[in-house]
Amino acid sequence: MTKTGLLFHILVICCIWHHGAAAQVATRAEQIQQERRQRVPQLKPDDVTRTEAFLRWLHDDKILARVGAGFNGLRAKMGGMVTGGGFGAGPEYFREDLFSGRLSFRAAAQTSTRGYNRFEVETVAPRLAQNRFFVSSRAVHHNYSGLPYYGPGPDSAKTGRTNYRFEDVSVDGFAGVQPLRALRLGASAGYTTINVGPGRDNRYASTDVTYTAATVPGLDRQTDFVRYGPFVELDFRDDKLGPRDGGRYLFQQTWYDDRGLNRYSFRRMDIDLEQYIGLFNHRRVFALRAHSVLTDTDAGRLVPFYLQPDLGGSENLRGFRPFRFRDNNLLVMNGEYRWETFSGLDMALFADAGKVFARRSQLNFHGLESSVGFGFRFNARNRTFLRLDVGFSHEGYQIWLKFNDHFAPRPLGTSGTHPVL
Amino acid sequence: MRMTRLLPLAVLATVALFGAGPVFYPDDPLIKEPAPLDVGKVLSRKLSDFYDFLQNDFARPGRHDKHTSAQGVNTLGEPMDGAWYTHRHYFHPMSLEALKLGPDGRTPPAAAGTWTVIKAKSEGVTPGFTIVDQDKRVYFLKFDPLTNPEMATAADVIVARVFYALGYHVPDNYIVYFDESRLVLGNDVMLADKLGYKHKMTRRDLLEILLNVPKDSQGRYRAIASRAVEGKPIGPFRYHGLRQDDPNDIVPHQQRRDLRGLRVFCAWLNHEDSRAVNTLDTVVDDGGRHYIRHYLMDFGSTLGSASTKANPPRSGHEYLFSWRTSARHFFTLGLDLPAWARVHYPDLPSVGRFEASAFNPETWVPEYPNPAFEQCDAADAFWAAKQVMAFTDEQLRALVSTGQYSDPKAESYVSRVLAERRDRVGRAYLEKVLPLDNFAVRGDRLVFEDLGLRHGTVKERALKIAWSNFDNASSHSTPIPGANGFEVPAAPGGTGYYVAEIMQTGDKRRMVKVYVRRTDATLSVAGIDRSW
Repeated sequence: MTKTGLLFHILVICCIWHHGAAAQVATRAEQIQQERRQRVPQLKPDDVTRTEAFLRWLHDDKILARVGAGFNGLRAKMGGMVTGGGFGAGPEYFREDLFSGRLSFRAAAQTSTRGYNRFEVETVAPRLAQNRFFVSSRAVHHNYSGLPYYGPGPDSAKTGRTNYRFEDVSVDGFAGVQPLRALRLGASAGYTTINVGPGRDNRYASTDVTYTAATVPGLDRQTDFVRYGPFVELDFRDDKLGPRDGGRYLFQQTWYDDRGLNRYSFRRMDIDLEQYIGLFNHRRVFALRAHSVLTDTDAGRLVPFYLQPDLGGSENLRGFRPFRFRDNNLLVMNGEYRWETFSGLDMALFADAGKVFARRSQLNFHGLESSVGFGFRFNARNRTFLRLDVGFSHEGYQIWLKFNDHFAPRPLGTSGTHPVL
Repeated sequence: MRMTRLLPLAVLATVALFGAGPVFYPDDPLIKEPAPLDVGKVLSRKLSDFYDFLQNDFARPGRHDKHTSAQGVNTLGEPMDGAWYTHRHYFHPMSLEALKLGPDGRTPPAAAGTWTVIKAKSEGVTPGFTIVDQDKRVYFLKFDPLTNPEMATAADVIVARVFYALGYHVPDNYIVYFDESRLVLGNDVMLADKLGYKHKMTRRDLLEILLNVPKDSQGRYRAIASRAVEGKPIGPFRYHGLRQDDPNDIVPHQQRRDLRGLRVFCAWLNHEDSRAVNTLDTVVDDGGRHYIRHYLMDFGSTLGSASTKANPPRSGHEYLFSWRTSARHFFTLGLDLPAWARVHYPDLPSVGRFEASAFNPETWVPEYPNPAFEQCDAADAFWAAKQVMAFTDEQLRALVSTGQYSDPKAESYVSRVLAERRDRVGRAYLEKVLPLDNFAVRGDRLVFEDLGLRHGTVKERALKIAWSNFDNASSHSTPIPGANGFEVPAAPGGTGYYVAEIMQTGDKRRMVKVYVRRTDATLSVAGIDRSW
């Protein structure tokens, strides 16, 4: 029998069988029942695929949350080093269930691919007395072997890059009250001891080789500081972790008292203003920020270079390298236009402008450095968990991949005035 | 011309392939499905919400299927009473009282005695408890978010009743108010923390969960008490394919009219969360015979509610993700502003974001593609739209009153928006086909209702009709000269069929074929076939 003949026979048999089956039914109900009965031999458990079972296991057993939380509070801490410090990793012990959730504790030790080290211990009680009081303490040790330094002032050259070692031990605490939902008042105090040494990054000269203490205060001798001061924060953003409307205004005054050399005492005032203008049901957002750090000293005193505010990097002037400019004072402004492309991604066009300057009287809009760029903000539940910003300036372009929102506020209190976090 | 045939595909296939078997059986049209086969032992299984999202957003099951007309219907094009659906309000108008009662409406948790918590969840979309009242009835308690008191609970109760009136199997939901002393902990109730680790639940745990629940002006907690549905739960159904363990599930879900038309209902009610995990199959014991019944569940993300917050403005207008809209927003820098972004919502926290001005039933979408919704054609949409239009303003107000809004403005607003959205549904879909329905033969005259005239989608309509003899065995029709009126052509006794082709004057596209059976002296409508 040929293949064609076989097929013909099979077809005929099928037709006869089907014809016979169809002819047997006399009603619609019987026809439906017949179809059902024909399904019976094919029945099997209605299970899910392995992929679906795996995803369900991830979700139902909260595997990602467990990995993030670690084992009995012990987990891996990845990233978070200062920009340019390489990829940092290390163990972290984190508990947020102490005293029925009123107190959280965190201790971490990290080292990076560039040999930077950071150790920190933090306790936070953010909601005491029915959310009216909050206290916190933080102790940190950094040993960063090659922080960039381009020279003093706004006219420093890109080619003047050097590097220096930054070592410190700092202990700070703050406490405050929250009389209104949007208002926090408080004060903080701390002690920091800082050491600066020759940089270990062989690609650049060491700062102490290129520059002198005459132009770079504190390069030759470092000292310890007691620091303290009050702060007031007005925060009426609609969502603190993913704001689309409202604002946050912070004013903070900090006194740095030189405890060793009696030469580097200074006062520092931080003004940080954020405003979000949400349009069209908040699907389009203009995010504006102005940040200024103003310092002043008594006669004969200086602000050491390692405590001067800096400009450049992913948090302010995104077309410039981190720590690109340093001086006694800082003014930086950022404007972003953000629009939603889909629920998990916002795009942004941004413009940054800022400058550092020696004297408070130079606080104006002359001589601003600027950068423009675009960014991608990946969101989950209205929280930016990853952002990619590309900034352009007359010094070239910079690409920033960060796990935070661009306007993520620095810590309140004296620890927030520290040069590196 | 796209055409749909409402006669079951199996019938047509039999006729076409084998030239045997009638188009109509004597028991057509079936109003109720035949008694289901016993399902035997069925294992419960869960679905992954995330997998469902990925599969439907990127793999798009059924996307490449050739479009076919809806199945799972009788020869009138109506889903039959059975495991999925029951003819209700459109077919047998329900009283205001019946609409407000929903599936039962008379057995809320016992007002006397305590409610024993036997299960709890502090994580997930919303916190909730499973309770047993003193009459041993089991309910699931779910709450509103602190930011939007009454929003999710009202939506859940209202929409469950609407879906019940539309013919679906839904849970029996109640708004309840109680204080914390009403709740007592059962023995060895385990509670999972946010990492999924379980510990024995304490009174303190219970109170901490209640800390995230709003109270009313009298200091009481408000919740929705959803009574456990009949039967043993075995997990959700999918909107595509068949259950592999159910002999009675013979129509792929994306081909079911009751699931394809569900798209229109979901659009009307803004049920954008209409995904697999918000459904439930149960094995029901029907006098010793076990079969699977299919429920729609969890209506907390409907109307203006997204359960834990007000609906995002995108809700119903764009998928969570789609290549096309994302590319449009991306390349236009967001300057191509969609209409939904310009909508103004009233400040009604108990409503959330719900409105009608930007609502377009034809472009409405759930959170991500739904295979059955994507197959919804004009006939499916007409089937659904005629049911939506069957709700009067008064009936909608009665249904909305079951949400027990404390703010009269909220109740009035939701009623008004539902009516406006209803009218938009009608305008969008009734005239996609020739909207004649409820065919019958009275005496020797074919009668029907023009839903377009009834609901004002047209002011007048001139119709023309042509009769033919219809051979039920060969499906061949022979025109009857001069038979162009609504009287069924006179004919001698015995069994036979006629078909009337009804068209609107000047419109050759939309047509309804009505098949009339003559059995001795009795004339009855055997089937309907629409084309458009």
